[in-house]
Amino acid sequence: MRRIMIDRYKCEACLGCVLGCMVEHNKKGKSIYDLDLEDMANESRNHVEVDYENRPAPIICRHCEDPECVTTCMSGAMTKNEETGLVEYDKDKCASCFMCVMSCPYGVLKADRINNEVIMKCDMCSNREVPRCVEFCPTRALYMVEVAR
Amino acid sequence: MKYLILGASAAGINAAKTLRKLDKDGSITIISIDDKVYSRCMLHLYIGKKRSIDRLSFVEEYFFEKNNINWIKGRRATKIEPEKKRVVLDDGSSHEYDKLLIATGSSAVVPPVGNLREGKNVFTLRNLEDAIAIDKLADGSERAVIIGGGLIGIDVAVELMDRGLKVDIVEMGPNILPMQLDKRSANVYERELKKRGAGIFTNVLAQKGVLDSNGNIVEVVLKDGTSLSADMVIVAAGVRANADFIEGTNIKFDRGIVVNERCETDEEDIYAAGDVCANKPGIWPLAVEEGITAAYNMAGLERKIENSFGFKNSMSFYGIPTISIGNPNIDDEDYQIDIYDDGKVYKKVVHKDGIIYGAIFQRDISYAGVFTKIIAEKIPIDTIDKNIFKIGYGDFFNINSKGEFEFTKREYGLKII
Amino acid sequence: MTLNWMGLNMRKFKTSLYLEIKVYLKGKRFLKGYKIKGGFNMAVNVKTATCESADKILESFIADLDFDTCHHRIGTQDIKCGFGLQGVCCKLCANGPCRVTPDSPKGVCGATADTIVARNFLRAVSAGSACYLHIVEKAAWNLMETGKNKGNIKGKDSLDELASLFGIAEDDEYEKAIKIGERVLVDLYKPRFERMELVEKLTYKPRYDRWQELGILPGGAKSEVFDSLIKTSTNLNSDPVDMLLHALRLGICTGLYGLFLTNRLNDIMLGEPKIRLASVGFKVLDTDYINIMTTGHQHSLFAHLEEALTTDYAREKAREAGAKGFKLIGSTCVGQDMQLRGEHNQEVFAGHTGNNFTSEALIATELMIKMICIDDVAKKANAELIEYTYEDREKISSYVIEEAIKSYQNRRDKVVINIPENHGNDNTLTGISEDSLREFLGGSYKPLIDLIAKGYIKGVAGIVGCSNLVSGGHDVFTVKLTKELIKRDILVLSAGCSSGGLENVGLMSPEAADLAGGLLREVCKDLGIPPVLNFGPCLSIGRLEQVATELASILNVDLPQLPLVLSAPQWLEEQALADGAFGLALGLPLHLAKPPYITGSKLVTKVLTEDLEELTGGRLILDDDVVSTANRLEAIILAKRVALGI
Repeated sequence: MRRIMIDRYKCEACLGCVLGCMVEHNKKGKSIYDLDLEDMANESRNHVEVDYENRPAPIICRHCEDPECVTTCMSGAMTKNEETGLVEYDKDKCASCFMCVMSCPYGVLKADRINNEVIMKCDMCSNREVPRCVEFCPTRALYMVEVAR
Repeated sequence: MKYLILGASAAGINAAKTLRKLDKDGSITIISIDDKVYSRCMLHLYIGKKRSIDRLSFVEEYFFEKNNINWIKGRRATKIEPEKKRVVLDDGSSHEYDKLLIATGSSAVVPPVGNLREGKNVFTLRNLEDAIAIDKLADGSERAVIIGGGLIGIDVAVELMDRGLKVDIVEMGPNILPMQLDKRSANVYERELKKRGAGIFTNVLAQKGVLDSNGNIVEVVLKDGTSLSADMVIVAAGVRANADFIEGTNIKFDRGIVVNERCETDEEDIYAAGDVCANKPGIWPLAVEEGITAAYNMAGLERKIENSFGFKNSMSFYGIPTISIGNPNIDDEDYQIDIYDDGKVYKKVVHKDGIIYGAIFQRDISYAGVFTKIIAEKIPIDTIDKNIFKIGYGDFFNINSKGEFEFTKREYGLKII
Repeated sequence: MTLNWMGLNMRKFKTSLYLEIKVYLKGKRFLKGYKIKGGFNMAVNVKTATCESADKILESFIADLDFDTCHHRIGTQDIKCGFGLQGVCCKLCANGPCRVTPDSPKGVCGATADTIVARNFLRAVSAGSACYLHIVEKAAWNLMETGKNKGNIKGKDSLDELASLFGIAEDDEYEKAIKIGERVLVDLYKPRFERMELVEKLTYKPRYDRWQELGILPGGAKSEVFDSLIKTSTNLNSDPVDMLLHALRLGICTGLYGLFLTNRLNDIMLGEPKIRLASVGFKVLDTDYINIMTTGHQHSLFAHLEEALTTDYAREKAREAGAKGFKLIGSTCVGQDMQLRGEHNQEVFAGHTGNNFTSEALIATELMIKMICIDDVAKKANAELIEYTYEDREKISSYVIEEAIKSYQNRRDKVVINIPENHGNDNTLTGISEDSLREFLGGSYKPLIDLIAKGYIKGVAGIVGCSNLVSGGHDVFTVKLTKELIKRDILVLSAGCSSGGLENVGLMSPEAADLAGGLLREVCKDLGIPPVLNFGPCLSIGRLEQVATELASILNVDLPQLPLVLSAPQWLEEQALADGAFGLALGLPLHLAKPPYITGSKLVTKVLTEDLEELTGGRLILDDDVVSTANRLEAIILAKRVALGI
C-alpha cells in the first residue's frame, strides 16, 4: 500500500500540509485562492505539533495495519479497506461517539470544529495520485512510499 | 475446522470476521438470540427516532453471505458439553465445534428495590427489544424516571426528553456520570439537561415504586422522601454476564467468565470474549479487541490482548463531547492535578511521579487519543518539559521504515537525535 | 541545531540531483522531485528544469545553459506558502510570525486577516513608491546640476513645456532647468501635512477634484512613504480602509512624480522620444565591440557615459584593445529608456535585448563579467560601488571605460561566447511617447478618437508591468493576453518590462498587424504601425496617463469613462503595485493575473475589486485565465463605449 512518509527533521512547521489538506477538502473549490482562511467549516485532517524541544512534527494518519479507530468503531463508519489498505470513514454511518478520537494512540483524529459531529479523517485525497499535503510540502518532509503489508 | 460462536454483537461478529480472514475454508457458525446485528451503543438513537433499525447495524450489507458465515438466529445456548465438544440450544438441537467462542454479552440488572422488578412499565436498555418497547411506551407517556445516571441512563434521558417527555434522573453518586466525570465536567451536562426540563437527583437512591392497579409504577419514591411521578421507569444500574449455560463445565466464573490474555477459558478449545468476561468494564473497543484476539488463537495463531485497558469512555450530549480516561477523580494529596478551564473547554490531567492516571477532555477532545495510550501503558511524561495539555504524539514521534508510527519505550522522553 | 542540520541536508540533496543529471543528461535537468523509475538505462521522460517562455528561442537557449538562472530556480521554488500567497502572514513583532487559520483567526496582537493583509499591502506599495521617488529625486538633482554646470540640454521643448506648466518665468534655459529641479524636490521633501504644489498642475481637473473629495491628495511624497511605514508598524494603524486610502495617495505620488516627472526631466536631459524602427533581442550584440550592459531605472545617471563612449578618446582606446568601439547594451528598464530615446544615442546604443528575465541569461552566459554599481540602492554583493555624483561624472565614465577595456582584454580568450543570433528582430517600432504619438497622428489625438468612435478600434488596453515566471511562465500570460486583445480590435499600448517581452516576440513590429482583428488590422496597415505600441519602460505608464488625459479632455469626460483598461498581467515587483495604485487612483480598471497577496482579507479584496469603483472609478480585476480576462476587459470597454454613446 501507499503511505505518506514523514521526515520530521525536514519539517519547518510552515503548515503547508495543513493548507494543502484544507484546499483539497474545500467545498468552494480546489485552488489556494478558493481557500478562505477564516472559514471555520473548513478543517484540515492533519496537523503539525511542536514537541518539547520546539521541533515540529507533522501528524498525518498512517492508515494503520491494525487500526484502533476501526476496532473501536461501534457504527461501522470506520473501516479498513483490505484492498487499498486505506482506513476509510463514512460520515453517514458515524454516530459521533468519538471512540476513535479517544483510541487513536497517535492523536491523529478530532471532531469537526463547528458541530462536533464528523471525524476529521485523512482520505489520502481519494482520487489524487499525490495527496495535497505532500504536494504542498516545500521541504519534501512528506513524500510517498509504497510499503509491503 | 468448525468454529462455533455464541453471540452476534461486538465480540462475536468481529471474531467471525477475523476468523474468515485467517481461515478461508473453515466452517463458521454464529448462534444468537438477536435476529439482527446491531450496535448496542446506538440503541438510544432508535428511541430518539434518529436511526431506523437497519441503521443500527455495524456491519456491511450481506456480511454473512460475503464472509460465508452460517447464522442461527433467535436461539440461545442452554448447555455446553465440552467432552462431546458440542453446544445444546433451547430448541434441543445440538451443534458440534472444534473451537468455541462464548460472546454472549451481559444483561441489565434491575435491583430488587421495592416493586421495580414487578412494574410492567420498567425497562432496561440492553437489547433491541428493550429499545422497541421503550419507543412504544414513550408515545403515550409524559414522565419518565431514570434510575442510574451513568452513560446509558443519560443516553436514554436525552432521547426521551427529545421526544417531549419530562425526565427525572436519579443517581446515587455526587453527580451524573460519576464513573467518568468529575463535578466540573458533569455539571456541564447537568446544566444542559436541566435547561431542557430534566430533574436531577444526586446522592440519593430510589427506595420504592408505587404500583397502580394495572401493575404499572406511577410513582418512584427516593430515600430522602422525594416522590417522582412516572409513566415509565428506566433502570440503568448495572449488568450481569450471560453465562448460565456454562454450568457443569470447568469454565471458571467470577462475575464473568475468567479468561487469560489469549481469551482462553479453563476448558480446552473454549474461548470467551466481550462483556461476558470477568474483571473489566464492558466497553465496545475491548469486546472487539477480545473477539479479534480469540479468533487469532482459535485459528491457531498466537495473539495476546495488547491493550486491556478499559477505563476510557467517550460521550457527546447536546453537541458537547467529552473523553474520560483512567480515574480522573483520584482524591489523594500525593497526586498532582492540572486543569485547563476557559469556561468552555475543560481539561484535567491527574498525575504522579511522571505517570498520568486519569484525564478528562471536554469540548475540545482533539487528538486526545495520545493520552489514552499514555495512561493505559503508564508511559512516563516527566521528561517532557512542556504544558501538559500540549503533549501529543509529536513528543514521542517515531516512524518506522514502513511509515508506521511507533511508541518505542527506549525513546520515551529522550532526545531522538 | 535542527535548522543548520536541515540546511545541510537540503544542499546535499540538491547537489546529488545536479550531479546525476550533469553526468547522464548533458545539461538537461529534471524538475526537482521528478520521479525517476528504475535508473537511467530505460526510457525516461526528460523534462527540462527551466520554465516556459513566450519567447521560444529564449526558452530553449536558457534550457541549454549550464548554470542557474531564474528560469531554473523557479522550479526549485515551485511550492508556495499558502499564507504568503494570501497575505496573512505577519512578522511585524517578535510574537510572530502569526498566520491566519480558522483555528487562529487573529494574530497575537489581535490583528485580523484584514489588518494583516492591509499592512502587508501598504508596506509593499510604499516600498514600490519609494523606489520610484528615488528615481525622480535623483533625476531632479541631476537636472539642477546640469543647469548649474550649463550641461547638455537635449530636450528643449520639454524644458519649455515644464517651465510654463510650473509657472517658471526665466529666460535662461539653465535657470529654467535649475528651477524645475528645485520645484520637484521642494514637493518631494514637504512634510505630510503640506500638500504638494505640483499635483494640481499635473492632474487632469476632474481627477484632481475627485481626489480632493476623497481626501487623497498627497502631502510631501517622501513623507507619505515615511508615514506609511509608521502606520504599518507594530500595533499602530489597524484600519484596513485607512491603509488602502494611503496606498492610493502613494499611487498618486508614484504616478505624477516617480513616473510622469521622471520621464519629463529625463526628456530634458536626454532628449525626447522619436518614433523609429529598431533592432531588439540578443541579436543586437556584436562581439566585435566592447559591450557594456546598463540596467536600473535611472537614465540620467548614464547621460555622461552615453556621451563619453562616443568621444574620439573612447573610440581610440577601444581600437587599441582590438575592438571596433563601445556599445551600450539595453536591458530591462534603462534599456527600454535608451531605446525610447534611441534617436539621440544612435552611435553607441546597440539596442534593447530584453526585460529582467531575459537579460540575466545573457550576462550569465559569460563568466568573468565586471559589475560596477553607481548607486548604492542597487549595490550588488559581487559588484564594485562607485557612487555617482554629477561632479565626478567624467571620472566615473573614464573609470568605466578603463574597466570595460580591462575586462574585454582579460576575458575574451577565456570564455566561450554563446549568443543565439536568431533572437529578436530589426523592425520593432519604438520611440512612442505622448508627444511623438500626437505628432504622428498629425498634432492631435482627434484621429485616434475618431477611429475609436467609428469602431475601427474598439478600445485601448494598457498592458503594463513586468514579467514574472508564475503566470504560465516568462511573458506567457502577457503575450497571450495581448494577442487575445488585438484579435478583438483592441489597441494595446505597452509600458514596462511587458514591452520587452512583446517586442521580442514580434508583436511591436508592423507585420504583427496580421494578428489583429480585421478592423484594427486595417488601421495598422494603413498607418504602417503594429497593433501593440511600444511606450518603453514602466516609467512610461506616466506617458500612458497623458495619452488617456488627452483623450478624455477632447471628449470632455473623466478618465474612468474612457474605453480604456489596464492590465499588469505579470506584475513582479513592489514598484508594480505602486504603479497599480496609481492606475486605481486614476479610476481605471486594472487586471492582475496573480493576486497581490491580498485574498486572505475579504475586506481588502472587496474594497479593491468592488467598492473602489464607487470611489475613484477604478477597480482591481483578479483573473489568471487569459480568455476570461480578455472577455472581462472587452466587456468593460464595450460598456464604456455604450455609456459614451459610441
